[in-house]
Amino acid sequence: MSAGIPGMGLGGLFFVLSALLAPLLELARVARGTSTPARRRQIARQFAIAIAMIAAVDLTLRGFLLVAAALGSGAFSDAGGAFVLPLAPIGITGAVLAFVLLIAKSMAVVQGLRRGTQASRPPSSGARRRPRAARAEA
Amino acid sequence: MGQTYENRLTAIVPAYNEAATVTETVRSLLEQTVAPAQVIVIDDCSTDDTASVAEAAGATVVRPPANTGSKAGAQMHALRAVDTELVMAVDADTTLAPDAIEKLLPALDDPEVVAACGFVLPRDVGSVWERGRYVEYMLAFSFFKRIQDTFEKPLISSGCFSVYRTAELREAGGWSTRTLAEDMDLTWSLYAARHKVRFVPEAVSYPVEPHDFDFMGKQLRRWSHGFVQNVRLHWRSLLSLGYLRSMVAVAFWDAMVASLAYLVLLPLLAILVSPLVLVGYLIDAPVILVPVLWQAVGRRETLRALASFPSFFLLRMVNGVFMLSAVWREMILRRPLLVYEKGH
Repeated sequence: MSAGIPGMGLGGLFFVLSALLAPLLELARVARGTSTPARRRQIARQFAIAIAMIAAVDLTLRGFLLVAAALGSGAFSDAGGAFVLPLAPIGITGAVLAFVLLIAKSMAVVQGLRRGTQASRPPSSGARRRPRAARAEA
Repeated sequence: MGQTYENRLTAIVPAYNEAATVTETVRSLLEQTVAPAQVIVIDDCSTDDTASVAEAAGATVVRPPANTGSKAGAQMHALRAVDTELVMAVDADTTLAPDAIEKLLPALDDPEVVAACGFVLPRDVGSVWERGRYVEYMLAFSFFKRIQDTFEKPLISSGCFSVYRTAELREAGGWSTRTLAEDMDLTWSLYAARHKVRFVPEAVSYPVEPHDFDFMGKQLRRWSHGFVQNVRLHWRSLLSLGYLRSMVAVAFWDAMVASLAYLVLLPLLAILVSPLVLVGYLIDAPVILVPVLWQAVGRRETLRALASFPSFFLLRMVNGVFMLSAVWREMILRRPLLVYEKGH
């Protein structure tokens, strides 16, 4: 992930979700005895940053809404509410992220099935294809 | 520490016309708290004084019979001569923090780990391009890359400062010239061979970053084409590497769709719907600022980070242009970029 690529949307959400999920996954390592204090510190740091990022979005939107309300727009009156995160855009971004990850996973499954089929097929007696690596180097 | 790693490490520094910077690079290597047994500078048939300057600084200089045409080519020329267990790649315009190697090497105590890379920060932060890159690195290395390391899949072991096990590096084919991003190619090849790569944020390096648009353009062209070339080359092996597969899928989506949205959709909507849509360019600013400031406060660089912050958005837009151009040329026109244009 290049930070310079436009769109914190999908990539940003992916890494924020990764940071939020990491403590849960670390529990499995703790149970196996493979977790280390350094790892746990790193995970706690990333978790805290992810929470701070979410809070930053919430505060920024709250600021926007307050300004809009001060300017007299009746449509923006939720700034004082407990939570102003735009759930619809986040939900759409989350759905797109799930779609992209699902496509990648589906490709992996298809590749696995093809490999399984090829492995169970008897070797062909016809002309052999050049190995892909050799073709790439040619 | 010094005893443990003594005589186990060779640093190789590819250089083409780097007389202005190679002295500092060699010195920063030789003055490490854990110094390499040997520093080899590959003078890739420079037309300036790179060879004599590097030799005077204390490096062993080797020269291929003809210019190899790429950084990877120069590195491969030196790799043949390496006889230590570990080998380190350092760019000729990169200096290291005095304890960078000492901090980096323990990652290789794990026998499954075959490569490790460190934190990267621009050495000079003056021009708008250097400032943009500073924020980009602060974001990437303080948040993204640490998470990648948590999931044991740093996307790239950075070419400007990484250490490798020599045997496994040779086994993976070393640094290949088949793409323009040899470090990404090598990292993904190592993953495909089921090796581990680590990111060590405490080990810090300082490359010279492009200071003007000309240099930045060359670098971004190389990086964006290199990314697309690597996706095309490695996608089959990536599919079986869960987290890496997901990262690359998301990065590729962002490279195409987010770049299009940034460069086409937002301006269009601003014209057709409302100029307020242009706020979209800055909408994620708070999200980016959090990890950047988190790192900057720890480094006592808060003012530098705040002053550099606007430059990031310009660099990001330019990056989007190069990324779209690379996708278009490599995947639609099938006209791959083959010439390695040296920038920084």
